Amino acid sequence: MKKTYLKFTVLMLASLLFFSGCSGKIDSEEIPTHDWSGYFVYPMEDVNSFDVDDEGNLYAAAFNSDILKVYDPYGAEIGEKTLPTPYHTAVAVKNGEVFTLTANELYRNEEKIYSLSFEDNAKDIRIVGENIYLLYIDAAADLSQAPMINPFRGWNGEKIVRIQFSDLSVSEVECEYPMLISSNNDELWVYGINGDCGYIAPIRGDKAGESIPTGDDIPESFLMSGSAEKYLFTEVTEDSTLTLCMTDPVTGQTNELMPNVAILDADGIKARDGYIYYLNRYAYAENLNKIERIRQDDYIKDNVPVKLLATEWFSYIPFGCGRTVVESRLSNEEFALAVLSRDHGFDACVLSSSQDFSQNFRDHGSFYVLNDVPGVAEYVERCFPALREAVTNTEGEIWALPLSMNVPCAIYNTENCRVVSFSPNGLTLEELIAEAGGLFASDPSRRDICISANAAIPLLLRYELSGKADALSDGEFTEKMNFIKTQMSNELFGIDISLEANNNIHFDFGINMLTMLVDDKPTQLDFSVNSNIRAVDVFEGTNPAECVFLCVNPSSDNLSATLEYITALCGYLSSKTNDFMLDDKSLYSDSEYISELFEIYRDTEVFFRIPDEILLEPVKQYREGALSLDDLIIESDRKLSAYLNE
Amino acid sequence: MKAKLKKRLKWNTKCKLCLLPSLLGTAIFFVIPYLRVLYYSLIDNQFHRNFVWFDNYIKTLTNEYFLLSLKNSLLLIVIAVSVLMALALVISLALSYGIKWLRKTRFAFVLPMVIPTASIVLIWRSVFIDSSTALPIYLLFIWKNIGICVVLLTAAFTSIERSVFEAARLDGANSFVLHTKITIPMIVPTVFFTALLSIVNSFKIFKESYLFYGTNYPPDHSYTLQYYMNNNFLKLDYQSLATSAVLTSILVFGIVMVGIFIQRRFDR
Repeated sequence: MKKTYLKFTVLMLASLLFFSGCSGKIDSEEIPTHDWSGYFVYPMEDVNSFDVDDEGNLYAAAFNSDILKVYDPYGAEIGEKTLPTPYHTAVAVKNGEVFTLTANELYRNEEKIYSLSFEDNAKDIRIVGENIYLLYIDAAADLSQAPMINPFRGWNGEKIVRIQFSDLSVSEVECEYPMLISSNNDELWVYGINGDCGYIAPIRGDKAGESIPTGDDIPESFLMSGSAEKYLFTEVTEDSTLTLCMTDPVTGQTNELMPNVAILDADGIKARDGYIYYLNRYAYAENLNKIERIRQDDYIKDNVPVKLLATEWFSYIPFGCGRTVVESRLSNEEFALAVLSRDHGFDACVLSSSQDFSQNFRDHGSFYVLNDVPGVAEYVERCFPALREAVTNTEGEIWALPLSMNVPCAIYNTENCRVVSFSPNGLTLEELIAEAGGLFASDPSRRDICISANAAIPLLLRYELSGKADALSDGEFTEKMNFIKTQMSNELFGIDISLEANNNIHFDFGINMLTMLVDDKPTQLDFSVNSNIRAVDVFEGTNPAECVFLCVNPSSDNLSATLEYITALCGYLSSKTNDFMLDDKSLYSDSEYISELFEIYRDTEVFFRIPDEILLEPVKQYREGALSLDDLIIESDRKLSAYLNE
Repeated sequence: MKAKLKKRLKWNTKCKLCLLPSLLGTAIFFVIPYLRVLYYSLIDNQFHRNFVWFDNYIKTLTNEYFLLSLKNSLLLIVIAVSVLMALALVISLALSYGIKWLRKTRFAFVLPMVIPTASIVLIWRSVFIDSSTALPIYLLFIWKNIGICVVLLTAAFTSIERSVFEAARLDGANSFVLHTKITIPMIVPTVFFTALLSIVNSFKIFKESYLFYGTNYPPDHSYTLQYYMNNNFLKLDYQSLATSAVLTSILVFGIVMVGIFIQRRFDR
């Protein structure tokens, strides 16, 4: 009897163990395939008006030009037409006919078919079926009665009229406080405001159909994606970049689609047969506004949110590519537990190479190997060599996707530096700190030479912080410590003057003297318009780089959707220009500043860091005088030995 | 006869059914996780999960820091627990045999159990500035656990019936015989239990040690098994963590088995 019970117990335990999660390896045959090349930019510059016909041909006219160029769906120019006037607000194309809208007139080919009063202002036209819908601002409208749902934008007196093809009869469309119109194939939609919020509604004939309430964010332009559930508009995101977003008006859930997109015209976004065309007035310098096209299915999906894990100390939300990215932040211990226990509750996690467990993640962590995910290997191959090396482990596995890379360097204004006979060109970081310290000492009021001690010390100790054995026991470390003690003990380096404390330096498109580019990406400090700005590296040997990685959780409940997202993200990252991730000079501007930065970013090595308590905290105690140099070396060496060998 | 057997079987079944929830809980929250950790200690990593059998064990057992931590943990057991038991016995004896002034202060021995750890460590750090030895941690361990040991041993002493001593005295036993033949044999089970409890508690001193040193890498003399496991956890090295956890459980199991063996021999 006892033996039976024993056998039963063992059997039960074994069954429980079997079903409790000792699941087998991930089935790599589940990887979906996906074509990510749906993003396209038309070559025409300075576009002001455009439309797309039923065959997918694009008609575009430049600002103050009466030439309407025609492009086929592959971007090749196939013809041109002449507009009745170069001063167009919008154009529309139907059955080979071109409708041109000016400030207060509408032309059908060369013939004027409708006029507004002189004070009125036309905004947009759409052709739906046998009707032309014209949106204009009625100068005589009573604005005082309009609801104010947004303190920054409101109803300006817009109205919609319908002009029928057959007899050119005109009738006013009845709808409440319209602001924008949108057409998609044979449907016209209106965006308006009523009560406390916005609304969207279909227009049938002269009447608006049932309205769907939206939020109080009033878009610059909007587009219905083909179904009643979703619409698109541009909005400002948390990091102050304009982003093309898609929002479900019912749930309010917003997905980011494309960054750096500003559609500032009412007619700036259109759709045709599964493609979305928009006039981007933001992404290009010197007003070279271009038409961009995305394939709807690539970006607008009924997809589950991507659940991202990050630590409290570091966070980075990659571009959504049509998906909502939901971030959770955990403490380091909770993060380690989630990763090690193969928690199903997250799809991916973000790490920085400056976080001490990144290297351990690569060596011991649980991550989905990305080699066979479509687009990843191609994208990684195009990245800078340092990034390729950082995301590939000793087994040749791509353990993470590189999202961003920061390389410290000195940015300076040649003209201002010449005035004080100072040049960082050819100086090492130590020499730069010493020179800058000298200039600061001669004039303590100046704040345009700012090198934060908290930022500079990790750069000075980059080799030691990378966890190389015996790094602390050679004379070089002692020299660096003496340098830090003597050169970085005055007030400039005692307080943390970060770049953020000097907004006037890097936001006015001109830098006073010098700054160390540590935490900002070069694209956030675009000085290419100022020919006096230069970049120079200050490190002997390769430049240290800090990288942000995205790792996929192999136990994710939505693994296939997450891998689709990874593929889309690779496509997006591969198409970015001046982003300092890709080793392709053709993707960067021609200015000397950008070229110098490119060379700096090319000559880098990604440094993974050891925990701060091993070296940085003892260094801080040493600077404060709480620890002697010998004790610092002994203590840090002991901890480093334990960290590397345990 | 048959009816009796039937009744007995019915009773046995009821007993087993009563035990089932507890057994199930033990299985789910202890046995199965332990078996999973054992499984993780036999594979190469969390993603590929290839069996490497005892390679991880060899790697851990030959790791100088694991051996250092093992040595420090055993030293803590041998030195600190021995001193703790000796001190607890003396105090318990004094409390049991009525030293009045000591009786009035008996609550003080329980106080370390209720004071928050962070407060204790704060005081310890201000008292023990020099951390060149593990003495602060040993003293902290003894001070924190003296209370429970004194309570248990005092209860053991006071539970011995007075009539036994009186009977022995009537038979002509002197003090030495009374203590060696009556007191000691009667408190030995409690002493062993207290010793085992103290040994288990010696593995829990990690929290106080971590707060005292304020780092994941304390001086070598205080680097115990928990530091080794905690650091491997933070480094996401689950295999080293699992292996060292299994080895630690084997160590504790071994100590408990040795203790039980000695106690049984002593009982005989």
